Amino acid sequence: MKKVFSILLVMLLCFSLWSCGGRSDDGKVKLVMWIMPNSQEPVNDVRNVLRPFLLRNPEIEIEVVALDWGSAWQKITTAATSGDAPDIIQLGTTWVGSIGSMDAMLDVSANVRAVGGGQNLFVDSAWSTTLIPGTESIVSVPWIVDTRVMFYRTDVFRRLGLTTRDVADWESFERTLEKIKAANLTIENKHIEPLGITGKNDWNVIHSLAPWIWSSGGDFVSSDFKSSVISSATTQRGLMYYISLVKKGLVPIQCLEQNSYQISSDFNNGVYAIYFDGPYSLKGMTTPPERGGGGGTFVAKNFAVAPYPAGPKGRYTFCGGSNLAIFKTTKHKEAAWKVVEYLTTNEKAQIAYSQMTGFLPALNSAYSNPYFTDDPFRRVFSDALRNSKAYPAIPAWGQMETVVLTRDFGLMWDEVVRNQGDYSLMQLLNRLNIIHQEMEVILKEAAKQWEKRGKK
Amino acid sequence: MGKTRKKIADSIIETYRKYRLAYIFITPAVCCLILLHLLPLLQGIWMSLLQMDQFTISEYLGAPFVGLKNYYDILFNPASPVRLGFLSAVRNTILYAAIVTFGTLGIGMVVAQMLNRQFKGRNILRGLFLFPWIVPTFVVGMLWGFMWQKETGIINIILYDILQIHTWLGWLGVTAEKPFWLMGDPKTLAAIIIPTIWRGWPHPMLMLLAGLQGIPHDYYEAADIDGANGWSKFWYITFPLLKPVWAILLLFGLIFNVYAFNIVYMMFGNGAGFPGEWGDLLMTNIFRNSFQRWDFGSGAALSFILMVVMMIVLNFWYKFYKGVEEG
Repeated sequence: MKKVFSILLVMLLCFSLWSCGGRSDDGKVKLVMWIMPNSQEPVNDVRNVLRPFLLRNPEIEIEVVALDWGSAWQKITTAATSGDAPDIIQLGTTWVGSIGSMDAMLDVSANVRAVGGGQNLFVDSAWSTTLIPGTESIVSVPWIVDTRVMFYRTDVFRRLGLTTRDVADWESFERTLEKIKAANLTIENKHIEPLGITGKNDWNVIHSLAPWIWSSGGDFVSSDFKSSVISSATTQRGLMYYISLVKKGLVPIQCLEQNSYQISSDFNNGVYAIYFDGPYSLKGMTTPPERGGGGGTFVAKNFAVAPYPAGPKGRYTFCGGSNLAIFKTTKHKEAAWKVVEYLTTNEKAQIAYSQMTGFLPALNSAYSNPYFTDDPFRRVFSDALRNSKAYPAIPAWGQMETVVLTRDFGLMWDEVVRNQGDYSLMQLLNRLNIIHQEMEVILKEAAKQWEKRGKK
Repeated sequence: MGKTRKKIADSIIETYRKYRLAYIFITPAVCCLILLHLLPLLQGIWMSLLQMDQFTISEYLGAPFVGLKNYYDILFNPASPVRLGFLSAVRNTILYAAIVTFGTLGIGMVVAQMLNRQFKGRNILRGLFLFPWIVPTFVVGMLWGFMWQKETGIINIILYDILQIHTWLGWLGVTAEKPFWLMGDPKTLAAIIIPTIWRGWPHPMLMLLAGLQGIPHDYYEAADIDGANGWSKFWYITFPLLKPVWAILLLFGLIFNVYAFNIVYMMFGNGAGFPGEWGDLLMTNIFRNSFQRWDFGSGAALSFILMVVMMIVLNFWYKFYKGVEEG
């Protein structure tokens, strides 16, 4: 009995090892790549982008697997601990610090240098997410970029004699919103509300606040990444300005319990004159309905995009997106790098994937392609990238973003809704002081751990 | 000494011979139980004594041993990130589990009584009443997340635009302004409890209905002769005779609702947002600590504390149930 059991176990082990991938029967190198749902058909779209590469490299075979964002964290952890990991993986830029500190990703610094360096090759803000600050090892390569701009209704602006100059800075932006509110317009049976923003029930809680914090000179962590500056006067000023738009009734209060998708869809249905969103919404609004887009609507024919209004300390927008990384456990380092190199540094591949997903390319040279230079909307996005900032790729960022910032800024919006017009700077300061203390604990502990065991 | 040992061995062999078939039958179940329950449980307890975070996760069970630090952080260290929202999650979970369990039992009991009568269309109604129970919990969470919204949600539209409750419930302090249900005040607790009761009551209803149909009709006839009214019949016949059913349902309900996750998780921005001080439950709290903050040690410690508390609850319940059985 024992013998039979052992034989069965050995057979099971052999089978699982054999099915883990590697070199298939026909001598091809089989790679497994985990991606997130970047487009409507995530697996097919990546396969299509890879087709020319696979024709040139017939010895490589790639199995593309789509994970959802929610379960990806857990699956990456499991992969890193069990060793049963894919060869290539897509990482959200805000994850690089945390996952990089797990020491599970391959150092690709030499490979990146060999294809012409980094900073000059990729968009600056995307490049800043490729390695943990203070270290030399590049653990991920920028693939797709997400940034935010202002979407506005051209018909509303025309009617009220407004231009993009009237939304160029915070003062004029607020005046414009007041003007739109005072005009009390109804277009196509929809009452026009000046601005649509999301509050707490959304995955963008921090991303929506960040541009206002940065534009007022504030930030989340100090420049040496050692302490929190979340309760600084400049951060307070940025947040208070944004909240004041709600307090003054320029944002319908019910927005604050809705998610990005609802605000975006309400804009497309003609509810808002202005809202802020990423490049995928531009794709959605310019894609005809027969191809699954929201084009053809009244709003789709009457909208344009502009950069964020400039604050007292400049104009900043959020830069996110995803990088590609190679798991250390891969048996095919060269082949895996070839695939990553193609997807991230081949201009055609970058533009093709951008066309499919709506995300922006991470490769600088892609922006000189007519796809960007000839389209006024895409040009606004590529200009916005110059003023974009990414969160620091420090090991503590993942913890702070998901637990402290999302939770605490969610509580902040709860307080704003409860108090509405009476929400005071003192209430904000109290909240920021709590966030500051919580961030300090996490930053200090993560730095200690990183010093002790991470920096290898 | 040798004789005693032989005696014990003989008695074991005898017991085995006597119940051989039973042992053979339960062996696979016991093996599965050890493999699927006991080993992961021990692993979980071991994990709760480790500092298993993003820096040490790759070492897995070999991560640094920190003893009871995780337990100390959860219970006594106010500066620890794991404590963020822990107490409000405990309060919410107690209220949520108690109200949902008794709510589903109460509604289930009333509807089971109604369906236990003979009338036309009873079977169709029974099928229709089961409908909420077949909707997956994460779908319930998503749908009710939209339904509770202030302006566009169907609940405020029904309450304020159609029923105009502010006009006739003004004396209760109901104002004309539609309320926010999902924005962090005690109303949020109602917003997570109501969908859970809505989704959960058909199950007790079905079980209690089956129980009701097993009660001999003679008891009621005898009570009729004695001149008992409907309430007396329920209180002195139905309720005690159904005790084994609702006692089990009470236990299942408490366990299920203390470990509730899906509905609350999905209701706030489809899992992306924070449920707020009055919406966060222990399970959503543990999820954030384990899978979003990558602090598996603290997550395991939190889960173990919860398990111990549930074992105490179970013990109380068992004493009560034993009384029911003996009674």
